[in-house]
Amino acid sequence: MDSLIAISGRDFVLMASDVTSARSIVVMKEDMDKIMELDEHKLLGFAGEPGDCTAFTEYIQKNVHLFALRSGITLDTHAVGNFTRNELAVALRKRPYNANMLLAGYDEHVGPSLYYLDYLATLHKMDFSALGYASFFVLSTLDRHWKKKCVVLACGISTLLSRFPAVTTQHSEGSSVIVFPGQFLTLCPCRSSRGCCPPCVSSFLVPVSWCAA
Amino acid sequence: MGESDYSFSLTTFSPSGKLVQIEYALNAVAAGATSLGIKAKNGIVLATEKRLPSPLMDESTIDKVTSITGNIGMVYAGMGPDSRVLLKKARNYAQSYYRVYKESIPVSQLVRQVASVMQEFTQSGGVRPFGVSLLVAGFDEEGPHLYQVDPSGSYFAWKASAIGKNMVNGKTFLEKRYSDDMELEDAIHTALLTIKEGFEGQVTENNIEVGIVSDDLKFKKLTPAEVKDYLSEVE
Amino acid sequence: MSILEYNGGCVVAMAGKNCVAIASDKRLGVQLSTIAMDCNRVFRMTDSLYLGLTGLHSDVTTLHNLFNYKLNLYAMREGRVIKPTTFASLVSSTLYEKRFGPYFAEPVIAGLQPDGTPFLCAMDLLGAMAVADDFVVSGTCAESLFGTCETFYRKDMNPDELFETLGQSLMAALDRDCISGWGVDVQIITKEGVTTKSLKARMD
Repeated sequence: MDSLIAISGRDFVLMASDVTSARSIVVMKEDMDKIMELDEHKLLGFAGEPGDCTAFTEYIQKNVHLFALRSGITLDTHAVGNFTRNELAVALRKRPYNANMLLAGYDEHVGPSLYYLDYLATLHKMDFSALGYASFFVLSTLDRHWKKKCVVLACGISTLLSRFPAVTTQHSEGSSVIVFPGQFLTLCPCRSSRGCCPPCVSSFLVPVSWCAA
Repeated sequence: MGESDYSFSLTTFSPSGKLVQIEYALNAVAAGATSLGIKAKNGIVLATEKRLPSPLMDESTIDKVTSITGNIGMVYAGMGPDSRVLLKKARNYAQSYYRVYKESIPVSQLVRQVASVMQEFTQSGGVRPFGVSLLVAGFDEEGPHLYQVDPSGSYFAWKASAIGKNMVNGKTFLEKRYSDDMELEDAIHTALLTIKEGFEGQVTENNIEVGIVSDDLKFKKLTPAEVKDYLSEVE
Repeated sequence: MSILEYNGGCVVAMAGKNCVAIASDKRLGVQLSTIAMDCNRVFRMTDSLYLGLTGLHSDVTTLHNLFNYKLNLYAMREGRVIKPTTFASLVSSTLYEKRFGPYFAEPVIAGLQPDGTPFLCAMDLLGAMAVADDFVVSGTCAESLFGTCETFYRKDMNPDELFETLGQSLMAALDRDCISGWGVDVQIITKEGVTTKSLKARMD
């Protein structure tokens, strides 16, 4: 079962997923990408039936890209969210896709935004969200610890890393930080969507106490 | 429309920018028996001649003034069969509107819809424009309305108008007779006078038709007996 | 569990003297787990007409979009503002159109008619209209809402009394429903305009 977590802050959205592809008790591979880049400033993370997820997210990715090519306009996150919802809603009564998604993006005039989208085509704007098994543990933790003042990217990563116990642990400047197994993707105005991978995450790490207050 | 080899539009521009098919349609209207409508303060009257090709025909079976809904009526000039197609579509649209909104259709909406059907027949493949002009009269929440719709699909609201053979003389006559504070009864008299003005032969209760929509929001076609009474009043 | 109860949530509307109010909770859930506490399910249709939708949130969104579409076209086509009665018929026929594959949402319509009198109407998911002159309810705690509204409702309340009565009726009913709650929004519609008030409910 997948785990997908996303947190938005003042000028970023951060998304993390696990990388396990498993069927029943068999782990097929441990380097599966569950976060798709829609464009330079948008990420679509997914959890659900693997075939449906791939087919549907690729369909969305290509259509968003096609729209951009045809019109010369890059849709903002809100528009992509509603487009995706509509495609899901239409499909729901014909041939449903079992795909749950988190859509994260950074728009010039809007700033960062994060949308929850489930297979029934429920679309909702979020400050933070989680899908899959992660959501059972993570939502309540984030309810407690997510703060608007978690404003800087480092703080977001730090929150993410420190609150979610996982496999690999890593020590940084004396504070015990636990790295979630998987990839880290960052979105911020200054960089392209595919940002850091685990090795360079540590450069963002700050003591947990920074955002504890 | 159809997918055959002949399903191209017959209405095409002439080099001077005219659509001659539509002009021919207007000629067909101008050859038809005169119809007219007058809007009064508290209602609208529609009237028309029944010109029959043979005295042997039973005029009592012919309906030129017809109702579209309870509060909207219509009369045409031009080709009778074409008018029935439009009448059917208008009645259908009025009922569809009622089915969705549980509210009777505003006259303006009905007219817009009928006009758009007529416009479609000037651009679609395999069809010809309608050879009729319509006068649509109705009383709704907004008050009394009288609209004229032409084969091109254009439509206008009028205080009084005439279509068909005597439209020019009829309109001139109406211009002289019309006043803004007219009551429905006055309008019926004026309508009959206008009909009489251009009528070939003797006007009787059997060779004209009159319909009224009054402020009780009811369209009503006058019976020959009622027409007879009005005729005796104007003489 | 019925699909109408999948996301949770409820709406209630009540009439006063020349005013109506419509209120809803703000929870969006997936069965028993809460996804969001800032979910809006009461939508402005015209200045004096509001539509509340309970049920499957996906269809709530779909219907909200659909009625916005239909009303925008109506306003341009007819050049007038739709009346509450007319809108209710539109909602009813839109829902019934999908009789054999329905939208899983139950609407509540609250508004002021052109003469200033209140209009209240609730529907089931197939569009069967139930017009009331006191109050209408919908959603996962509809039964409790009937009870609380029945108890608190009085005839001819002024806007302030109406707000208090409706707010208390909803809050009392919410607390007995574990998939509704997490805040309450109340809109009070009068001839002068609409006031929106947010109530803090039990946030657990």
